[in-house]
Amino acid sequence: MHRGISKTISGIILLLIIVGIVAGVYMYQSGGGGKQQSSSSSPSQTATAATKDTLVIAMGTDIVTFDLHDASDNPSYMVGRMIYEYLVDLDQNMKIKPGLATSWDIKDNGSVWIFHLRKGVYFQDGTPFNAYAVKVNFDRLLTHKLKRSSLFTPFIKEVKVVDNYTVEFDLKKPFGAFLYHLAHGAAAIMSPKSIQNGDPKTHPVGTGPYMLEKWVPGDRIVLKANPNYWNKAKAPKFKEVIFKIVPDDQTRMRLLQSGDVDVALRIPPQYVKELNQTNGITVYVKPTNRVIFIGINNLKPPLNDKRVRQALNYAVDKEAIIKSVLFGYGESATSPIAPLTHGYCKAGYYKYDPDKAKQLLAEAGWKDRDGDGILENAQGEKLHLTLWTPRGRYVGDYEMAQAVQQYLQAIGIKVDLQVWEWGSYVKELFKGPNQTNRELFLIGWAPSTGDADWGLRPLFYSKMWAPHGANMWFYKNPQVDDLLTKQIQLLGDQRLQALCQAQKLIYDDAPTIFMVVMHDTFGVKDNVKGITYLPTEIVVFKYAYWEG
Amino acid sequence: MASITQYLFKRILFLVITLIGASFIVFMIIHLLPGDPARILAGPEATQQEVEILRHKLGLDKPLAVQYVDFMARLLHGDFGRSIVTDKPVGELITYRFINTLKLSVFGITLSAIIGIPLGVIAALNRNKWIDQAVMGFAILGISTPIFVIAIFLMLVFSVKWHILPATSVTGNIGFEQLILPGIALALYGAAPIARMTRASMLETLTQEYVRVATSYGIPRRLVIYKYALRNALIPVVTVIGLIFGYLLAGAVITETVFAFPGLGRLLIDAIFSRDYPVVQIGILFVATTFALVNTLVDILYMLIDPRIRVSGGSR
Repeated sequence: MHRGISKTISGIILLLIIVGIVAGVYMYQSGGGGKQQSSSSSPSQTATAATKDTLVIAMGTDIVTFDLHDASDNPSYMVGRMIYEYLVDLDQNMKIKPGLATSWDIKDNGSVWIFHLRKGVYFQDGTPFNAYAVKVNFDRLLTHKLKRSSLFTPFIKEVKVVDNYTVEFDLKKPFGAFLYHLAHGAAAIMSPKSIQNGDPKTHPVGTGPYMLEKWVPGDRIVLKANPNYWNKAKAPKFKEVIFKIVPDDQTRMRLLQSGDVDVALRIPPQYVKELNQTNGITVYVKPTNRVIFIGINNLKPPLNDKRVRQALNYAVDKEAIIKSVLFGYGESATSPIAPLTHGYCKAGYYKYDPDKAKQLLAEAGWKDRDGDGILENAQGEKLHLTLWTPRGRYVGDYEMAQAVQQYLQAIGIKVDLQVWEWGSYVKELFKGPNQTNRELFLIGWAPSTGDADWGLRPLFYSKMWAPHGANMWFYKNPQVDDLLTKQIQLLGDQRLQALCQAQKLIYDDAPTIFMVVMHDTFGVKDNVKGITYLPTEIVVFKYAYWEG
Repeated sequence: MASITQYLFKRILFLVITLIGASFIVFMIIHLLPGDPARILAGPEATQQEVEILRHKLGLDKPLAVQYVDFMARLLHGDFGRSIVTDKPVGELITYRFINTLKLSVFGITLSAIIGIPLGVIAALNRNKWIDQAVMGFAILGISTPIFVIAIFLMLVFSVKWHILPATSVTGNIGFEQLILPGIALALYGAAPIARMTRASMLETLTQEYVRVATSYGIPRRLVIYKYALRNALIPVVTVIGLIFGYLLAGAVITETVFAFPGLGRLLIDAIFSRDYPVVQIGILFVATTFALVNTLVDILYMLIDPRIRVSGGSR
């Protein structure tokens, strides 16, 4: 009798398993797999979904610190921007707007800048915002060796308090990009009390609409509204803003679909369409000022030959890569800097032309002499290069490197691909010319000031060769050096002209393969409004609000 | 009775030795890495002055043996050092994540056992029939399906499609709801080896002489199976459960990543990537300690299940 019972039970269990698997597969097909029809998966409220009081944002990496004077990572700047404010602001087109300073005067051809400060502003700890507070902040940047001091110490001589609401910056020399440095995330204005007695690293005090409630490293950051925010017209609309750290790319977007979060940052390009078609969610694709390069070691033969480097540029079909790896979310680089970087001008375009590439290589002495498909020089040495790449640091980085490998092999260059863990990679790339064997390496750069100076000088000025600066390709062109030095002190059109000339020279010299200008993606529930985007890869949630 | 106390005593002694060994290995991590231990603990960003202050504070200029004693003294006082990256006390960071992982692991392993053991028994009792094949097929599926596939699948079905369960905790509160999906993912993964071991062990037990003897005595078959055979068959299964629990504790990193679950696994991986050695040290220590405790518990459980161990004092 028991055998009969155990048989029945087993039968039922088995049936449930089979039904479960079949149903599950069906669900997957219509719910999340491949072709998506808009429809059923509209995010509604689950038990833990955000209410209108709380805004929940899913981001991929945790912040490093709240001390923005000492931070170099985007998450820290993005979250910090809710808490701190700046003397001047950037709008979505990278134009300078008044911030905590309402107006400014430029004297002495750009050596003296006088800022008139906003009245009636208080820090979150009650300290008043005034010229003294500004001086304390910049003195800190100038005298303490913080990560971001180098954005200020080369240019600022002294900061003077003229009166309670007027502050004067005396520069060492005229500096055309000065306002962009003041708008940089690192120039956050912190409460002098927190600088002198507090700990800005973990207890930030700013003038912004939100304050830190709690930071659980690796998990989430909880901000609460600042009831005394000075800008009454733009008072914080949420009681709480939670930044939840979700490292997995797919999970982030699924959380948006499930309703667990209201915003999901960095959507993998292959999911953008599906997510956008989901009811109640919109995906925004925004051009950034980040350029992806395949760096070339300009000192190592045969890469020291300009023709070879140009050949590499002609050999890669960037448009095709953008279409297939980035699903169209990107654009070919037509300059060492992105179009949205202040000072950009179109420097050229290496159109995909494998024949021209082969021709240039032939001129440089590289031909396929023995018919094996790989180019050799007159001495019979094969053209064999190593391509380094990180994986998961930039969207599609590894896949782009793979594609580049294929294109180069197609014109007869044997390429070995090597993947690096990011921490070690950065260390390696900043090694100097005598310490490294690197040949080709994928790397991105986004000038966080939004200005061309920071996009060109650290990368292409010969005195900035690694390890001193980010000239990881050991590029040197005295003409370019001259222009880059000159433009620092120029203003207006004169400066733009010098910058443009420099860009054209650099582009022609091809110290790198100029690949792609990246586009950033983020998904937002349609009820959430008021989000803006800065091309320096910062999503601004400061003035976000809930509608409906 | 003396043999029980003897057995217990031996196991606890062994536990203490294991813990001391683990703490020693953890202590040595800093000293075996290339470079200066004080610099490693202070981080690459610290000034030389800060490094020297730390060196003195942690007694890193003293002989190794003295350092170890200091290290243990600090541990026992709950001073786990500070994170290099965030400068927060390690204890604070780890405790929250560890408790979450503990909750998840207990939930996961319980579910694993609830699913796996009955399935294994059913398979064994119906050996080679279709139900047996089905159960074993399920077991193979469970073991060979990558866990992130199971995890994402669950998320898609229950959170995205049906909106009945949260995919993650946004408020940091890890309640029953937040444990369900990651717990099921772990359970499906862990049930497979448990089912297989149960089946194999049951089959072996059922061929034992005492089972045939009991049946020939006229004891009802059901009683023979569930009261006599199963208890013995469970012994190796308990071992497997202990091992899987240990694995879950070490942090089911992938499940934690997919569900953005604030557990110990992810903390350890993040700490390793960011070279946050104090967190790595203490994290490993937590895991090792819990694992040793669990195994001791398993051994004590053996004693309860198998009278032979009680009587002979440990040998089987």
